[in-house]
Amino acid sequence: MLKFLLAVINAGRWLAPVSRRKEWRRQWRADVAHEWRWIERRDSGIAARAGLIGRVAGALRHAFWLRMHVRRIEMITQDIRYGWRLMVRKPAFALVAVLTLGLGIGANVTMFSWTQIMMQRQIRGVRDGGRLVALNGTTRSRQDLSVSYPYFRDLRERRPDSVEDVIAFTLAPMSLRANGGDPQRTFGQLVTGNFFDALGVRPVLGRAFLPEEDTTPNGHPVAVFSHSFWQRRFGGDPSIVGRTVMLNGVAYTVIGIAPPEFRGTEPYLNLDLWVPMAMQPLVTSGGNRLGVRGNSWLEAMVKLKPGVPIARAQADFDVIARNLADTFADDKGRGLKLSELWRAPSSGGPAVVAVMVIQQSVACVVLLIACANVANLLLARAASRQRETAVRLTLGASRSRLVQQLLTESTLLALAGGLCGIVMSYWTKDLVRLFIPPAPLPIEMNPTLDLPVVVFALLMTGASVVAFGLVPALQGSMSSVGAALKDSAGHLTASPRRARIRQTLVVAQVALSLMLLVSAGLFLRTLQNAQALDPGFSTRTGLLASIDLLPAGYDAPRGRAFFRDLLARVRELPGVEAASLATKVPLGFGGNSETSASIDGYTPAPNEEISIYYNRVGSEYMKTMGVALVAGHEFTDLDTTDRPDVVIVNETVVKRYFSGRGPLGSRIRVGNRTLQVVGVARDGKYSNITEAPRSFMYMPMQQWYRADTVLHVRTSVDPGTLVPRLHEVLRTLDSNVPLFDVRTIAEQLSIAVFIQRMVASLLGAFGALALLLATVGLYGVIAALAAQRIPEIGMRMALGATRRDIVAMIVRQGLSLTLTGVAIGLIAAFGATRLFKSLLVGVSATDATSFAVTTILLVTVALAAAYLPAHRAARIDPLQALRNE
Amino acid sequence: MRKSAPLSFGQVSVLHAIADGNRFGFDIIDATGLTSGSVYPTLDKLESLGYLTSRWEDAKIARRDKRPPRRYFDLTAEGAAALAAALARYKNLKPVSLARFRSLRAEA
Repeated sequence: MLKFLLAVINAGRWLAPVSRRKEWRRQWRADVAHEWRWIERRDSGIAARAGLIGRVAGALRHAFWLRMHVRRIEMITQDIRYGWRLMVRKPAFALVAVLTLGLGIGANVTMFSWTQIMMQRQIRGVRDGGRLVALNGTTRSRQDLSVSYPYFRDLRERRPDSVEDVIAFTLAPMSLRANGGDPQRTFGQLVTGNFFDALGVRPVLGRAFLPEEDTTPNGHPVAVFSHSFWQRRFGGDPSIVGRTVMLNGVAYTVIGIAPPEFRGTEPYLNLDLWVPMAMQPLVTSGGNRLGVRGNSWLEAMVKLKPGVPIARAQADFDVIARNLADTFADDKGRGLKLSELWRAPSSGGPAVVAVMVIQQSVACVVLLIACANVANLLLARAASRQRETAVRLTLGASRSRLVQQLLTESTLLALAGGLCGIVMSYWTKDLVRLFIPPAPLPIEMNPTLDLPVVVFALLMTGASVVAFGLVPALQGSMSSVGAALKDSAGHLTASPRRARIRQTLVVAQVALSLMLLVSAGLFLRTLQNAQALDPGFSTRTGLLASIDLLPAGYDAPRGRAFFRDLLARVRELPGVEAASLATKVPLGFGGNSETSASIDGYTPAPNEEISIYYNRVGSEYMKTMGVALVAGHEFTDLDTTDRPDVVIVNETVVKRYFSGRGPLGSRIRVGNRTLQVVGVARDGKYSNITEAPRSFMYMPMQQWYRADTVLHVRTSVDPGTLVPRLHEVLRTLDSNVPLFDVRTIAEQLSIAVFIQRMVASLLGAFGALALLLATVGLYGVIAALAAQRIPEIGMRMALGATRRDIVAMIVRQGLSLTLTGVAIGLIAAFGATRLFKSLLVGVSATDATSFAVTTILLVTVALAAAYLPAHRAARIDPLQALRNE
Repeated sequence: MRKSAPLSFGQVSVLHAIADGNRFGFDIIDATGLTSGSVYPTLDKLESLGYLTSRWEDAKIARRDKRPPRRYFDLTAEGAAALAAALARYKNLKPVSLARFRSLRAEA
């Protein structure tokens, strides 16, 4: 039986970790043997023998415990200490590695923090934000429409069991006047009465809206202020609750202050205040829309019940939408679509998603390049540690043990790099503000380094350990013991395999950075082109300024008269060449209005919807904006309400709907009005600079009155000098009507190319970073190769090679690596750049110039990186080199 | 390694048994009444904490017994101090009357 027990222990030793295996076996064999002797000597009974078996079972538990604990604790602390000592002993190496990784990880963390705000996966400061989804109206061809107020009411009343509540809201600029001060432009939201309750937002002071405050139109002028607005405008004075302020000329009672985290439901915006939806007629122009089913102007959100998947709510709503479409003529053909908030059209849509994807993948590429660099450094160090490795292997260290140790060192480096990266992104995260377009909105972008970002940083750190540490660790632990120990001379040559890995890494680096550089080149060209692109209007010196008559209490007839007087006065100002009005600024941030229309003489195909974008403009708009007229004439001051309705269409409308007919004099029906075409304008860019030609028409402001418009002024002098004069004109007309958001047309245009500018800047910065890292990598590898070839160089020089020959030889080696990388990089870039084709302007995804220029740049830099070590190698003393051999 | 963590009852029992003169694994099992599967890991743990040292038995004695030399354990000064501290802590637990709880169990 003793034999059996000893056999169990013999077999059990495999459970114990290598380092403790011998000791464990020896201890247990001795103890069991000793106990057995005792049992025999005392002639104990079966119970004692059974007890011994139980104790041997405990031995296995002991072995397992050793495996779980000893290896972990002792070895890892030992490895960490050893790794730390190495780092301290070679601070330059550690510094370079940590900084390189820091750059890579920092770039990723910063981009992630930006991606996070762009994704806006949740609205801040609300309860159960994860259950909120966006609701948009749909037609056959569109999925991003607003909804009308009656439609919202029906949806909410009939909401299915899967849905907790439905809210609706819209952005509403308002003019605020408090304590008799000057009017101030604020940005608020008109919200339905259930808004705060559904979102679970509790005011920190006062209360939210009551349901009855959102029933009678204009019945309850009450407002909730945002926390930051309260702080900014009223210094956090708590007595504001209960006081009245003037909003658009109407007295409102302030009933509450929202909590600081809650900034409203518009992505990127930090709003100032909220008023009940029922106040709409006094807040936005265009009359009472609350009862109009055909007018869709609200954004809506749905709060799902806990655990309800979005698809189920969608299916439930589909039934209701079909019912509504059957019941009401205005809702015919309309459906609705639920989508996650970050995917909702109001969050920016595909362009923003594209930017997110681009910036994050570019940052990943930079990290890859950084990892390749560090891997190279580690491989170089592994060469100099060959003897240490060999000695340890000889002394009985297992290979897995060595790999573990090398990986621990890599992890230490990566952790330091990750920390460095977090610090770097703490410094760089706010750079996102550079890209905020100069739009007249309270845009807020505050990237934070919160928990998800830190978790992301940790993930990136872990990923980079694998990326840069694994190959060198496996490689470093592989050492031919004999060779390394035998090699008595001071130079331990790198193994050919290691050299090959290093060269592969450099080739990969070159390829990756070329890919980034080519992309950067394409976007720089895009930016150039976009700025030079003909938007269809003249971008010479001009001024834009917004006016809103609604707060001053103008009705339509008085408003029309005011605008007429305003234009007459402005046109008289010295330096003004032309002046006009328009509700929409071309290439502005607000998007464009569109309307369905029918065109006399054009029969739409079955299922075809004629939908035309439009702008309401004043007289002489074409002259002011430099829009060329192809035919007909533009609106004059005579196109008023008592005259027939007129319209100017663009060339695309003519091409699409008037083929073969003269458009002038034709009729277009919009709603119940019939418009006569009096002019044809050249095509232009209306919403964004990259859009395809679209149908567009201009309607006279005097016939389609709106209280809020933008004054457009074309000047022959510096627009800045004109600003005080414009204010003066306004004051003389009505001191209650302020001019706001005054900006030049050039500033306005920079909005149009903001996405291109952002991507070009990011890619440019990352491309430069990648080039720098790749150059350092190439330099390191060439230097190592040159050092390795010193004996050979000595021999060649002794045999008559000139220094120039030597330089050429080394540089050629560097060049061949570079060119291999370039070849791969060009192919990769060719594939990658077509992914963002849609963002490019006036340049194809395979633009030869961008490819060529960046390739030349990279090869030049690479040659410089190879020349330095080559030059050094050529200066060696051949005698010295040969003597060392 | 942290040494301030309070010792578990098992660890105290093992230290106590060694202080009481039980030097070998199986003796300690007998003295403490714990299983071998917990005593041996405890011994290793206490040694790594620096409370114990271990040595191999003199080979001569083992050879005389016709068996391999066993591993035996000794308290270090730190181990003695830790044991004293732990025993002092246990002493703080004053006797309490448990009769009430016994009757509770009877009812259940």
